[in-house]
Order: sequence, then C-alpha cells, then structure tokens
Amino acid sequence: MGIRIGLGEPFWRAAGVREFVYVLESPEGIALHELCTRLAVPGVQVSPDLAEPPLFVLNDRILSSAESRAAVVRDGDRLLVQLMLAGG
Amino acid sequence: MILGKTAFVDLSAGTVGIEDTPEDLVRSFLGGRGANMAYLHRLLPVGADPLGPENVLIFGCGLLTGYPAPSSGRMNISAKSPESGIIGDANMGGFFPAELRKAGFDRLVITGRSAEPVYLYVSAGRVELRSASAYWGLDAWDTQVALERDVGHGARSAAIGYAGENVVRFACIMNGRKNAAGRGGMGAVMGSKLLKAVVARGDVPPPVYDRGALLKRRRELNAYLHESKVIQIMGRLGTPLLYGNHVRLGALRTKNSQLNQWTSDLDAEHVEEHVERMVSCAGCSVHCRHVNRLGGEGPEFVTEGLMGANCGVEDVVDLIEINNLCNALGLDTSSAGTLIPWAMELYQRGIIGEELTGGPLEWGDVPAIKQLLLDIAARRGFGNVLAESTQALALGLLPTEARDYLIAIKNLPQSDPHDVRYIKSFALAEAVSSRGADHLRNRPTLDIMGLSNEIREKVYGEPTVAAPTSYETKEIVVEWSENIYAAIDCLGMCRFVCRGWNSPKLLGYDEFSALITEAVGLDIPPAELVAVARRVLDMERVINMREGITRADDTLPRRYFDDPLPVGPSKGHRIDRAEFAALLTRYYRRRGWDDEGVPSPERVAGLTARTRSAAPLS
Repeated sequence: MGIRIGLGEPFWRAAGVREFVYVLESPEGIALHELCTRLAVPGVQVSPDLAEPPLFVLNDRILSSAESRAAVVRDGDRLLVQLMLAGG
Repeated sequence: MILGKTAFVDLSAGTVGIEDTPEDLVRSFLGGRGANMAYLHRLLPVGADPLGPENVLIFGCGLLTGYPAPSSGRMNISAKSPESGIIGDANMGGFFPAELRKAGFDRLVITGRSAEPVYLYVSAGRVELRSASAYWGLDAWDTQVALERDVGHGARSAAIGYAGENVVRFACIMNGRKNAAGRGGMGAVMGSKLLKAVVARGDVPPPVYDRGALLKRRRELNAYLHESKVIQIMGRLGTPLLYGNHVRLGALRTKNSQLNQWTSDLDAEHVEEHVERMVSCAGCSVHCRHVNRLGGEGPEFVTEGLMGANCGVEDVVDLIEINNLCNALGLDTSSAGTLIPWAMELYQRGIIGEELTGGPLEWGDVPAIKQLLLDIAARRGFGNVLAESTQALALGLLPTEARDYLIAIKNLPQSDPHDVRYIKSFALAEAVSSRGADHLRNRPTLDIMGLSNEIREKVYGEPTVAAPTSYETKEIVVEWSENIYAAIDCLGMCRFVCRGWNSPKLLGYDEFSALITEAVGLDIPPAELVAVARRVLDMERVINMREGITRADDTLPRRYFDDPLPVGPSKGHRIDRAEFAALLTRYYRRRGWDDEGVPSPERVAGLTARTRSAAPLS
C-alpha cells in the first residue's frame, strides 16, 4: 500500500509531482525525519532549528514541531507537507 | 533631524496651508499610521458623519516612505470609516506614496467638501485644487491614465472610480491597477468630498541624513531578506501561494463560511497560467505582485478566497475577470467577497427573495456576481442595498435575522479568506483589531508554522504555547504581532518583510531603529519603537471608544462560536465562548487596559499631551 504523500506549495515544484506513494521497506514504519531525508525534496526536513519549517499533516492531524520530531509514518498513512503561510 | 511638510487642505474654503511637520509628533508617532491617528485624535469631531464635510481624510507617508530603505513604498490613508463607523485606516503600496514624498510632503490633511469635483495636484512643495469635471464618471484605471496624459508623464494618482463617486461604503482608493487603500471605505470618503483624485509629481527624493550608511544597510538587508524561503517564493508566485495550502488544511472560508474547503482549480498553479510577469512596488525587491494577461494585476489570495471560494466561483479565468472588475470599479474585494456571499446565504435560506434581489442569487453564478458588482458601484437595485455594506442592517434594508449570518466585526466585513475557528490566536486577533474584522493589523502568523519552542521564545521574548488550538498565552502572541505591525505601518515599510509575518526571520526593531537613524537622523532605540507602537494602539482604542466601542464589540461572528468547522484537518473546531472571554481579558491586561478594555486616564492624558501639535498652526 505504501504511504500516500502529498506535497503542497512550494515543495511540489522542486519534486515535480504533487502526490505519490512511498513504498516502505519495513512493516514497522519509518520515522518522519528519516522519511524526509530519503525523499530528498529541498526544504522538506524535520529540525527544531528551522525558522521556516514545513508543516506536516499526518492522517488529517496537524503535527506540532515536537510531534514532527517524534512521528512515525506507517503503511497506509497519508502525509501532507507544505509551507503554511497565513499572511497574505 | 530631517523633517518634511504637512499640507492642510480645506475643500469647502478652497484653501491650502503648508506647515513643517512638528518634530515632537515625529518623535512620538513617527509617521504613516501613527501620525495619522494623532491627527484624527486631535481633529476629528466626536460623532462626525463619516460622509460629511467634518470628516478628516489623511494621506500619510510613513517616516521612511520614498527613502532608500527596503520595501519602503507604502502609506496609510485614514479617516472615520463610513463602513464601520470607527477608525478607517487603509494601507497602500504601489508608486503613489513615494511620489507624494518626492513632491515634498509627509502628509495631506483634508477637510470640508468641495462644491464641484476636484483633484489635488501636488508637486514641488505645492498643492493646487484643480477641476475634476473632465474625469468624473471615469473608472479608477481610466482616471489615472487620463490624469497622467493631462498632467504629465510620471505623475502618479490615487483615484476613485464609480464606486467612490457614488459613495459606496466600501469603495477604495486605487493607484495603479491593483494597489488599493482598500479597507473601510476611504474611497467613499473621497467621493463624499467630491475629491476625485490626488495626483503627485515629484522629482526630488527626500534628503538622507547618512546616505552612504543607508545604502550599505539596504544592500545588506535585501541580501538577508532574499535568503528567506518565504521571500523567495513570494517573489515567484505572490500570495496565490497561500490558496492551495489553505484548501488542504480545511482553513478556507467557503460559501459564507458554511464550509471550509473548495476546489484547487483556483490555486497558484492555475493562476500562473494567466500571469504575464511579476512586478513590485516602489523600492521593493520582493516583487510579489503579478500582472495578469486579462489586463489587470492580481488576484491576491484575499480575492481568490473571498471572490472565489466564498462566492462559490470555480473557474480561475472567471475569478481573474471578477478581480479586474473590482479594481477598475474601485471596490474593496474583502468587503465585496464577504457581503455578496452573505446575500447568497440569505437567499439560499429564504431570508431574502427575488423581490429584493431582483433575480436569483445562486452560489457560483458568475454573470450574476459581475452584474451585482456593477450594480453596487452604480447603487442600482439590490446593489444599492449592498452598497451600504453592514450598515444595511441599521438602515432597515435587510431583515434583522440577517445579522446571524454576517461575518463581520465592529461592522467591518472580515478581510481575509482564513477561517479562524481552528487557530485561536487568529480569532482573538480578528476580534480586537482596531479597524474591525481584519487580519493585517495583528495576525500572529507564526502560530500555524510549526515552529519549535526555542524559536518561539527567541521571537516573543518569553515562553508561549505552540499549539494553535490552545487559548493559553495567545494574548502574548497577538500583542507582540500588533505592536510590530503598527511600528512598520508608521515607517511605511511593507508587512511582507516584517518579522512575524510568515517568518520569524525578516526585519525587526533593531533594523527599523538603524534605518531611522541613517535616513532621517532620529535616534529611536528598539525599546522606544515598541513604546511608539503601544502608543498608537492606545490612541486607536481611545478614538474608537469615543465613537462608542466597548468590550462587547471585541467579539466574533456567531458562526465562529456556534458552528464547528465541517471538514478537513480542522474539522470540529470552533471558538469556546468562556475560553475566548478569558483570553480577551488577558489581552486587555497585557495592553495595560482594564478588564473592560479601557486605557487608564493617565495614559489617555499622556496621549492628549503628545497630540497637541497635530493641528494647523493657523
């Protein structure tokens, strides 16, 4: 089944795709920060030091910074990654 | 310190007085929004008719407008609002503000009413009243073209279209194709004074106190700004960037906030297909404005959301045409995009019918929407009802139960497409905004960014709760945001380069202080800049209270308390009344006001003393 990953603005532009399925190697799932490393999309990373971090929405739940660092993503999960701006 | 000039224009008497801008006023309020509020505090009669000659209309450059500082091409235009009945204060970019500064002026303070349509011609330190009879009846775009043709190449205008001439309560003042002093009906105030335009033509940049240092700092700050991912992407896509992300988050006002998600067909990728190029305002390196291939500029996110999702419009070409129409007519898309959906929901529920609307008013009916915009501008048929904006209720033009479905605060329709039921700090900000329901005065945008606690504490100077759905400590983030945005409005710099607006990086008080010293030779340390900002917020509160505002007005639309968000990641969220009341009290205390939101008599006396010079010497 894999993980359904959606890339919002602006990350889909570097990746060239808005939605795709990431196939897991292990049934236990993968740490979100490790998944980001493997995706290698510029700007998509988990780090407490980022001043303009991506926003992660896992199965319709918006993750805080701390939750992002601890999150594990499993087979069948839906993950949305976007830069959430609210001023315009 | 380098000071400029203030012109006092009496349209009734046909006279112009020009005086030096008082130094003590600059030290207390800088310029732009702050100085405008000082003049309103001093000169606006309590209870004045906003459409009467006694209303005071002020075009105020920021302290740094037109200087070689980053993104410093903005001004504030202020008066008593005919839409809300309280402070009207609209911020505008483009090229007119810098031109007014080059023409020799910090601000124009306009009173009275002309007997015939006029425009003000401002150049070389002089202000002339000229007949505008040749331009009356032209839309906002054609007016500017005609004025530049007649006055001379390079002249920049701030003009009204039909909507302003017909005193539509949410008419805006336009410069260029899209730059609007949009909120609060400043265009209606101009129309009520028979003032068609202000035209500026200047070729003398303001003298700079330390030019070498300022130019060096500008280079460094622009380079720093362009390291920001946010600034980079704004320069490529503009604010349509926000639309798709709001759809996915379930945070988009849709069909008068009955829903919170809509089609992605209006997002940045779809808008891009119709964009010719990106352009900027005077002195700005971000260039976040887009020229569309249908003859206009925009749409911005506000218009995408409100004239798009909130009206049920699904096609991006229709949306761009609607955007261009609003700008040519000189109609505020925030108000239009809240009032038309309001009417659509009332029609949907059978609260109003075709005997009033003149025909069906269905969601997404683009021909009907365009016709209604034309009718509003012309004050024709049902358009004449909506031209009164929220005042239509007080005037008895709509049934009283219509108020239950109105998304407005202090009689100002909500400015932006973001549904604030999820992020509690956004809700507080809308409720306490000094000009009514508005996101630009104080939105703590960092609350939705998923920042670490460490970064948050660095920004706010104290620990705050990161969870956007918590009510705890949200008074801290709103007050902080309100202060820094007030400061940047006093400077005439753009919100998009301000720390706290979509990024914890960008420019803050340290940078502002250095720019002020190098530009005008005034030493205002960062802590004093915060004090200036707090003073401006106090003054706005005092003016609003004189016009009848109380704690009861710092509230939210009924829907935000009673109706949970229906879909998406934000599903189920609403605002809890008890939590909100407690949060509001904490905010007042943070501001140094009492639990009813009243500044102390000592602070009010202090403001009165500081505004003594905000009046003509004569």
